[in-house]
Amino acid sequence: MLRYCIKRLLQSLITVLLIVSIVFLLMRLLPTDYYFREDELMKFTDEQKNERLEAEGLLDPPLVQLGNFYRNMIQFQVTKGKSVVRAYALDQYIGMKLKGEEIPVAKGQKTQWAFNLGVSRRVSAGQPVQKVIAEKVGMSMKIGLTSLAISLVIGVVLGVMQARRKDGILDRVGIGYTVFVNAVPHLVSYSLLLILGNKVFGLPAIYKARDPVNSLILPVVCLALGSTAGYMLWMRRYMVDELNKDYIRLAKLKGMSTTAVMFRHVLKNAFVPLAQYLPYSIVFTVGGSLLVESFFSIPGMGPMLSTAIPRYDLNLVQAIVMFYAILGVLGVFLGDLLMCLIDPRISLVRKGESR
Amino acid sequence: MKKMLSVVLALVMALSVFAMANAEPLTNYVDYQTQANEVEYWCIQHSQGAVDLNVLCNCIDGLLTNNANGELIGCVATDWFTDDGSVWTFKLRDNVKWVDCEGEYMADLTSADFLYGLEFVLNYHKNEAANTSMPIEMIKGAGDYYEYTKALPAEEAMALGIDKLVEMVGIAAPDDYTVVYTLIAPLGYFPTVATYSCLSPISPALLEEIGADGYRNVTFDTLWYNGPYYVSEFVDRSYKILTPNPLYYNPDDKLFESVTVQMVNSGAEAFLLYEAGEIDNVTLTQDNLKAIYDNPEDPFHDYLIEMRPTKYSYQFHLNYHQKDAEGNDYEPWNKAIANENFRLAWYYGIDLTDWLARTNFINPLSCENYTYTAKGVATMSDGRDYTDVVREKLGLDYDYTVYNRFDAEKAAAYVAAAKEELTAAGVELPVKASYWVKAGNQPAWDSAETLKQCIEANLGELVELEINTYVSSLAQEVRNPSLYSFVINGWGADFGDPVNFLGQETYGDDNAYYAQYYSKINEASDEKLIATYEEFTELVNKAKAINDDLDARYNAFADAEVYMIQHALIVPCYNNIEWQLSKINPYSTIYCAYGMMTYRYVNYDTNADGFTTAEIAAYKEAASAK
Amino acid sequence: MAKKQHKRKTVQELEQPVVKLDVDYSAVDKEPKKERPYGRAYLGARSAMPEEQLFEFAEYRPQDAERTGYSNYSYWKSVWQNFVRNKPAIIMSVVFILLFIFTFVAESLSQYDVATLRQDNQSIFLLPSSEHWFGTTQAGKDYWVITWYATRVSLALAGLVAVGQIIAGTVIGLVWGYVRKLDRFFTELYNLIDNIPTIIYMTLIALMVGQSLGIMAVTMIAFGWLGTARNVRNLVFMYRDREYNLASRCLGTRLWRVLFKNIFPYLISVIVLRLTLAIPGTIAYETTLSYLGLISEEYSLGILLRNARDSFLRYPHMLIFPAVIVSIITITFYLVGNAFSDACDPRNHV
Repeated sequence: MLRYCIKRLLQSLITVLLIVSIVFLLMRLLPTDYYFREDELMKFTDEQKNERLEAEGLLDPPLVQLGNFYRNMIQFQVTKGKSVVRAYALDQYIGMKLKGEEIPVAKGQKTQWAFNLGVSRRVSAGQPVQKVIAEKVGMSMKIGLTSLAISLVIGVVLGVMQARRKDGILDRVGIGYTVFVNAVPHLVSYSLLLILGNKVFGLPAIYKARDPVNSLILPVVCLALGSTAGYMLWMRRYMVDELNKDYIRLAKLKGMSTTAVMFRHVLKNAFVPLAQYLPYSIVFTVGGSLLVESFFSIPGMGPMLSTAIPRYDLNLVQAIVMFYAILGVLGVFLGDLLMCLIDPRISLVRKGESR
Repeated sequence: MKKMLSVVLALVMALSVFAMANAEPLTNYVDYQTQANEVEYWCIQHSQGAVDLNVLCNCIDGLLTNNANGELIGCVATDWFTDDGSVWTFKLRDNVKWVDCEGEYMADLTSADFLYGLEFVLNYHKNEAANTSMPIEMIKGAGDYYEYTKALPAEEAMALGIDKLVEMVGIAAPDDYTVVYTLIAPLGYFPTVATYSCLSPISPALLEEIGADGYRNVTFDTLWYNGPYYVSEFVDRSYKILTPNPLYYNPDDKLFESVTVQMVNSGAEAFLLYEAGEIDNVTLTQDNLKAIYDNPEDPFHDYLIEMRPTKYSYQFHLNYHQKDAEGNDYEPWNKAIANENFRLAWYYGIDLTDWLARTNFINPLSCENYTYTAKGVATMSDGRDYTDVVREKLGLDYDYTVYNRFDAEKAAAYVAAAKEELTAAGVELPVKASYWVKAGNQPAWDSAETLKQCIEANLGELVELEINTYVSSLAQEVRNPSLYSFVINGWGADFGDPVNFLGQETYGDDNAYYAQYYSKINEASDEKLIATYEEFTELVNKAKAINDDLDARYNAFADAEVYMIQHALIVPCYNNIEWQLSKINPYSTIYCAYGMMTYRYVNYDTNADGFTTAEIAAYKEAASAK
Repeated sequence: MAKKQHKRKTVQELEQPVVKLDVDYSAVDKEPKKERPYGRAYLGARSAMPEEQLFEFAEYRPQDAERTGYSNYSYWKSVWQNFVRNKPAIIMSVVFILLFIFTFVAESLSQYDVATLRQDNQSIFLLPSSEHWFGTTQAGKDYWVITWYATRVSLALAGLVAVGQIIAGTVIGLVWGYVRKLDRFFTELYNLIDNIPTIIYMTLIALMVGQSLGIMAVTMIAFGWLGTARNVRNLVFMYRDREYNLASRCLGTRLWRVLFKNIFPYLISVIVLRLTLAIPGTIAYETTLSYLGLISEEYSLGILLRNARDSFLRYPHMLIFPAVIVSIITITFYLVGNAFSDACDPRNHV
């Protein structure tokens, strides 16, 4: 099991590195003028632009830049106050240590090891990108987890109820709802919800920093809208399928009540596949939702990528892509692990060689 | 007599307004900006972008600032003078303090801080060549110092103090509260430069604490503040809160208890926020403006306010060297635009009224603009604005009833002449002209379509407008490959002199920004066109050389501008005057046609219920009577 | 948004469907429509009745006995029968077909014409009237002709993209599933493309190649085949080594016959489902892209919806008309897709 985990994690690491490298090189295809703001382009001469690019190492060949990016991911930094005076890449540091050179540290300066993905150029100029991302993650998680919890509870409960009274009124309404949510573009359903929430309940139409609780109601509802339908549909279908299975029929024949069957057997089994996707959903709440967060102007992770790309904040784009890739890989991995933990029938290791 | 009467009338109206207005003033002001305008650099010396300076002009006070009438007033400096126009002395206040992001005292400001500021700007390694153009052009030795630091190894240059600067550059601090600048040549308008970010101070103690590198990438929570406000809270792309500086040096300035700048996605969203009382002013999008204006029952119907002009003046910048997508010269347009009759047909033959209505639905003609230089940049000694002189020479007036420049008869004559000449030259008419707007920007697209209608209404035989879209950067995708026939662009001055505008259009000068990058005149080949441009350039240079007599200088510039406009080398286009709802009296805010002080939140006249159309009309009357 | 659709994506997982988890819950309600008679009623009866009353002897009927020996089962006939039984899907199909025909007629009913529409400051945002049946836009143009024109554009785009994605996806999926040597390669390729946010490709292509609906359609096809391909691959994987296929192959059935007769019926339901879901998906995606400025300005339903967002609180007609039309289209395809894929599933053919 441990060996499997390690192998799996190593594989994931390679995937992540590949993705990051490809994005890095893709973004380097862009002409260098994209590094400047429109008003800077107006005021800078070509010479000034070149000087600035050179100063930041952006004129090196892309592969050299990629190498530098990885080399500098872990840095030994000499700091003074809050700012970094000098930084040494890991290999530089080891090289110096091997040669027996001392790293010069002036009085009042401190040293530290740091994880470094570069600084944001345009979105929050000068800030380390991991800090920029960290600032946004909390908000996205808050909305994401709330809506996940709501939709999970409501979705599962409604799904079970639908399955119990199949073709009843509730079932039909539920099916209508899932069709509506899945079929109608989100922009339309969000617009309708916005009109309803704003005109009828007087909820804020966009995020207000001074009234976060009320202004997050609509976004959470919008976000929960889709996933509730997902859980409902899935739960209902699972239940209906399962209720026709032999072991359920046997349990019923043996005199178990429907409710007991539902809870003891079906629901318990239903959590196995759910367990695989739950970690993924939880992990991905960190990633935020592009449409909901931009629709309600919430300062979260969702719109970060679409903000960073048109502004060519390459370090930030890189970091976000890496972040998403790690989340994706981690989410699936945790899911498999959890599923394997709660269901003893499933083994991740043995069947690996069976094919 | 007439003027007198209007003054009296205005006063009466203003007084009656005051009597009526018993509404509470605002104590906590909430302004807004769209997402594209979030602060990117907190280092004022590093920034030349309005997005940063709109906030930083509240935080870091330089030598001078402006007031609501656009006049220069002291900021950190109380007094400034010169003998010959080339040595300028600024006397500073002795009570200016630096505070941190919690309003705690950090250090005193002395004249040395301005030296550190300039050193930072000119030091290639510290500021990465940002913001150097004005000091290098104006201050003695600045260019040499820049080159000197560039030649140094990075570490050494980063360690430089101000000793070398004092030795090489024309800046000095004879005592703690005096700064003296020595210029390359006499410049009467140098004090207007002293409002701009390139001459801002830095506290050496802060540099000591975080290092020059740290300062360039400074954030709001490590920055030190000497202005009326400090930034106490900042959430990127969400909001920022400005809190009054407890140690602010000028007790006479009226400050808010807090200023919040809320970031919004779109104008439509801003309106929702204003409606909810979340923000205190909003520039109206056309649909909201129309809805409110058309409906007398609308709660905002009586509160519509026409904005004051901004510092930007918008022009048609014609491209004299257009290329097609394959990179070949696009001859039809290049030949057509080199033809003076064609350009004059463009000048006289377009009635822009409908197009202006896309910006200003109610009074489209208040956006009309017939001069290249923006209003208020320079004033003659008799009080006339420089642009009025230009307009008199052009024989055009703003009467706000018709689009004055449009002349159907003249246009028809020029169209006929251009048609004849161009057909003879083998150009197939109508020529395709390409105009670019940003993809996904529906208002811009709609405006472009209206523009097409306006142009083709009278010039249909000559031109057919093609509207294209670019994804992200006009400069990169359109301007550099030269794919456009013309662009409409606004230019605002950094300091108060017409050279700011006309200097951008001269022939054969790499630093003439618009001529080089937009008109591409230096790449054009038509001899007649170049001759016209050369003559214009000569007129500008003649005006630039006059440094002793401002009136004569301005008159000479006016001649050059009139020459340029009458040969339609650049065609003036519009002023951006929109409508808003506001709890701020726009006639109390800093109003200046140059520099970066527009968003300085001091001495605002406010009304928590919002100002009515009538009130603002009275203020406008009073302001114009002055 | 798009993130949510593909949930399983590691190498491991793709290689080995360890447990068969039927959780494609964006997909269909596959359960048979006919209620089967066991369950509560029967169980309830058991306790109430003595055993001999529960059963009775069947009489011998020759024609019934004959029927068990022969079935006139035809796959496509069963599909059709099953499909027709789904009332909502049929109703929506009829509505949609009428709508589709109407899009070609609608413009000629009006006195306006898309090609010659003019901006008019005097008539912006007029409410629906006898003059302008859907009111006017922010540019003062007749909304009726624009809406119908946009509907045609969006349908054409969505159809093109959907068909393109499905063809590419099916072909790649078949190769991926059948040629074992390529499995690793395709899995890695899939992981890479899927893990890089689409908006990066879209932006880069828009910047470097240009932007038009055509280019966008190609881009969407180029990156949209993933889901279908994986789905097809998994199915091929699942069925290719089933006993009856092994038997077929052993008996010398030709490969194309195995693929077409034995495996393809299982694929059809997925392909049709993907195809029909790709249409609403494309329309929704187009909306998002137009938000980000990656679509050139032409009239399409996505762009109308985006524009409506700024004004619908004051001028609801800007939202209502395109929203209703979009909803009719997407709901129809959703229902039809699900109904058809149910009908296609041989397990539902009783």
